[in-house]
Amino acid sequence: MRLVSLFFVLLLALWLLLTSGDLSSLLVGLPFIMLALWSYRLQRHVPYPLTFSFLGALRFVVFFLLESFRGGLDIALRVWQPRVSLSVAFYEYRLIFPQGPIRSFFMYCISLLPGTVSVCVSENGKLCLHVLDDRGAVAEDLARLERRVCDLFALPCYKGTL
Amino acid sequence: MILDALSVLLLLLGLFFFVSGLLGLWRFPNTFARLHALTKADNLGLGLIMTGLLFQVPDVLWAIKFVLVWLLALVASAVNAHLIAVFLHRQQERHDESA
Repeated sequence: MRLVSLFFVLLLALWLLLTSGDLSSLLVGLPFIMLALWSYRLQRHVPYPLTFSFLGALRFVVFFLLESFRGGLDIALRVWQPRVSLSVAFYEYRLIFPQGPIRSFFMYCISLLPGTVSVCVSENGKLCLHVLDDRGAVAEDLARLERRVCDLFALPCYKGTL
Repeated sequence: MILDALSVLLLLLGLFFFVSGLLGLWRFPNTFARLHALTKADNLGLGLIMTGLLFQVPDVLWAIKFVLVWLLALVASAVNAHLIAVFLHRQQERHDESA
């Protein structure tokens, strides 16, 4: 319950910030805040305590910005060439994060970073993703993101295990 | 003056990446590949446009607002890409089963 009230306050603050504190806009905002809280309660099961590291967050932001550049540039280089060179494939990767918010976060980051879109978690617990070019270093990229996510949430990951 | 020039430069760069994403939507061979083009190029394009506009803000509140809009767009784009990918994947599996 405490977590839900905290989320309510955060979402309310977010809405008021975006609307420059226009209270009448809450007519639209409040129902959506309630909807967000309700959908959050649906998947509330968090199997581990969530912690953050400030330095880890800083490192993650730098990493994310640099990788965003690489990802956008990668697309731009491909689409402006006379012949689009792709080698699309599905790819499987072992997951170290148990089901919960950190795994979701990891999967969403994958979709925003160069050459990968996360698709599903298969029955054997592996992450399946779609890669734009399987000639690149996909596993290395994923392992680097994994380390940054561990760093951000202050998790003791060691050589691909948690 | 220098800040204005920097703004224009960043906005143009952002525009370039948006057009690249659009071109990817047009030229990439299948829906999965098109998802890549939209998520990555738009992430960077909107980020650059947001940074370009940061030099023009009247106060800090507006700056926070711009960064928040970018972050919200990132979340929306990542979640959407994932949902479309899941849907496509299931559809393909069903297609394979019936074949």
